[in-house]
Amino acid sequence: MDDLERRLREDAKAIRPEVPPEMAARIASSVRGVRALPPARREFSWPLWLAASLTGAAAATVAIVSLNRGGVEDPAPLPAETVAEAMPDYIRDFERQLPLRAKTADLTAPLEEELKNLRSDLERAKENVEEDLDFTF
Amino acid sequence: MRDVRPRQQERFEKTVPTDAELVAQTIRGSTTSFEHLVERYQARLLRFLITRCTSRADAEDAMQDAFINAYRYLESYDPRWQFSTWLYRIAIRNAAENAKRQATVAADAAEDAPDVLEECIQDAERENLWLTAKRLLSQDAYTAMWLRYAEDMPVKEVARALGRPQSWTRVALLRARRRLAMALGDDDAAGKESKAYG
Repeated sequence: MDDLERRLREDAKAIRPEVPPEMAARIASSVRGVRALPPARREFSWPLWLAASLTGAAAATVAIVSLNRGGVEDPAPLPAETVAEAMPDYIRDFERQLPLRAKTADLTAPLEEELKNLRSDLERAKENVEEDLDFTF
Repeated sequence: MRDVRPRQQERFEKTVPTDAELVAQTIRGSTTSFEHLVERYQARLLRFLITRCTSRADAEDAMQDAFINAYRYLESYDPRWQFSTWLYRIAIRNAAENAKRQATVAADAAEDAPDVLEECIQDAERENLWLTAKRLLSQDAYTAMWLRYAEDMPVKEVARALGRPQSWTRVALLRARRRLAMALGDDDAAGKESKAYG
C-alpha cells in the first residue's frame, strides 16, 4: 500500500455521516408496501414458434424457386480481339508514365519498414502499461 | 489448558448470517432478514451517496430508493455477485437518475448550498483527499476510486458496480491516481504512472 492509497483510506474513514435512527424503520415500512417482482422470463409460445417457422420456410422456398426459374444461360462468347488491342489509347499513354515493370520488393520495402517500426512502438507501449498496472494493483 | 477462542469465534460466525443467507430468507418471505441487510449496509451506503449527492436529503432519498429497488428485484439478484456490488450498482443508477432530474430544476440553488460532504468530515486537520478528488475527477472516476479504496472492492467488482469493462476501470483508476498525485505534488508517483501514457 503506497502513501496515496493509505491517505485515501484514512480520509474515507473520517467521513462519518450520522444515520438517522428512524431511517431503518422508514425503509422497513416502505419495503412492506412493496411487492417483490419475479425475475422477467420469456414464456415459450407454441403457436408463435410454429407461425415463425412456417413463415421462414415459405420465404426460403420462394427465394430458391425465383432464383432457379430463369434456367442456366450459356456464357457470352469472348470477343475475338485481345485485351491489349481493346485497350484505349489514353490508357496506353498512361501506362508509359508508370513504372509498371518495377519489382514487388521495391514497392513493399518502405511499407514493411513502417510496419516493423509500428510493431516495435506497440511492444514498447505494452511493456510500459503492464509495468504500471503491476505497480498500481 | 484448552483454547476456547476458536470455538467462540466459530459459534459467533454461525450466528451471524451471511448476505447470501439473508437474501435467500428474504426471497422466502422474511422481511426481517431484509431489515438485517438494511442495518448492515445503511451506514456504508449513506456515506457513499453523501459523496455523490448535492444534499443530505437527496442522499437519504437515494439510499431509501436503492433499498426499495433491491427488495423489489431481489429475485433477479445473481448470487455470483457480491450483494454489496449489486446494491451499489442500484444506488449508482438511482443517484444518477435523481441528479439528472434535479439538474434542470435546481442548478442555481446548488451553487450556493454548502457541500454536504464537507459537513460530514470529522477531525479535519488538512483538506480531506476525497474533497480534492471530487473537484478534480469525473464522477465515474471518483466512484471507481471510492469503491476501490474506501470500500475495498476488488477491481472486478468495481467494474461490475459501474457497469464498465475491467480494462476501463483499471485505466480510470490509474489516471485518477495520477491526477491526485500531481495535485498533491507527489512528483515521484505522478512521474512513474505517467510513463505509460507518454
